[in-house]
Amino acid sequence: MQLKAHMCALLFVAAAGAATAGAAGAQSLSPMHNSGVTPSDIKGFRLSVGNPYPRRMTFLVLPMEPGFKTAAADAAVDFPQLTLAPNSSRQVIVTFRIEPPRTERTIGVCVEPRDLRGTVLPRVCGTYTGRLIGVGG
Amino acid sequence: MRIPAVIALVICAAAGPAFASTDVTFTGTVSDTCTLAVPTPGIMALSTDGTILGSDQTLGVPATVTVLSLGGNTLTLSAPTLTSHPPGYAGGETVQMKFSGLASQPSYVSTQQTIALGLIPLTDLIVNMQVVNANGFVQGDYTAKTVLTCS
Amino acid sequence: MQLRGLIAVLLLAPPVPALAACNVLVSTSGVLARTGDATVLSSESGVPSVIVISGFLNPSISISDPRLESWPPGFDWTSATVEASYQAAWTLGSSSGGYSSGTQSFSAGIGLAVTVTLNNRVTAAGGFRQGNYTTKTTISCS
Repeated sequence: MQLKAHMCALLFVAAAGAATAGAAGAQSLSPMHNSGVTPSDIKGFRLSVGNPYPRRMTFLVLPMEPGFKTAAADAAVDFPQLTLAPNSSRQVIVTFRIEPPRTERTIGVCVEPRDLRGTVLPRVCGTYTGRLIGVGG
Repeated sequence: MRIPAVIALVICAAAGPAFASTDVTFTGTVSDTCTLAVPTPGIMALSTDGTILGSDQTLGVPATVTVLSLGGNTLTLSAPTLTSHPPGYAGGETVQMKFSGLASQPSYVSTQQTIALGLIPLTDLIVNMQVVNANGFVQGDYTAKTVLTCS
Repeated sequence: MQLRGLIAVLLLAPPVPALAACNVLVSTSGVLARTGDATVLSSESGVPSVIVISGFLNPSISISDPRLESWPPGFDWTSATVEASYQAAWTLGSSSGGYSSGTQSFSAGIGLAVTVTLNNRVTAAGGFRQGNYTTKTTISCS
């Protein structure tokens, strides 16, 4: 009983400590979808990452496969980690390679807070499609 | 003097009506946006019988997520998992979540949940999480998490 | 005699449009943008269109048929309402009209030109899908 009570107290303290150490997170991403052509085998998109809340936040900008479960190969973001002032936004450029014989490729980009504890990890994800010029509509 | 005036009047009367018309064009581009905020991260507390670690237990706190959606976006909550536990913990748990507010899942589930969003003004989603283990929990820190994706 | 003959010739001659010509020039095309209300796109949040009408005497100007010309796939255009509003100014006079989906008309006084600032607004209760939107409004003078 005493051990259980002790465990209860410790678990609560640990959970409370973890919760209070974590900062609330918020982010936005725009546009959430885009498509375009490229004359080469590299396609780039300019995206806007926002911190619309009154707290300085650091976000991770992650190129992903379209299901948002695994990281995308041959894709990069110029600023994979962004620290934004309250109510500010910044543009990032994501680029990815369209390997032949593929003529089109879709990747995802997800924005999530770097340092957030708690039971929910929020992230905003978009999909972006690149096509080789002269192929398709 | 009158004759030139008369001639002028005649000229004006003989002139046909003038008419011009044009279409004025307005263009605009709309981008989908989704904004997520987690003002309350959520705290799990142990039940009195020691077999449930949950945010709806006494001294637990549910997570609150604030969602703003402009466009046809989708909110996905991944199947919740125990992402960290202390050494010596033997496992065998079931991690579950339920939510209310923007959408409702009133009973605990272990599977991925999807919510279709349209035009949503700033709205809260309250998420409760619990880890159930009939064998109880060893002392230490536990973290359970669902990944909430707006896409 | 000569005068009668002259008048006859003039009456039979084709119309002379020089003094009554009416020119409508779109000086600035309009740009629609999201407003604080996610159900409304408006050029008041973007860029209003400016039109200059010249070459007339006391013209009657009408603004009509604001309409949605193009929209992205999946957008429910049947539930969208398009409206136009205007502000017009000329020497010693002005006129204005609030948002309307119908025809608005006004008569301008004698002057070198009438400057019309035209706004378009699209209202859709379900919001707007991502993509490009185009509206048009007809402006006429006579």
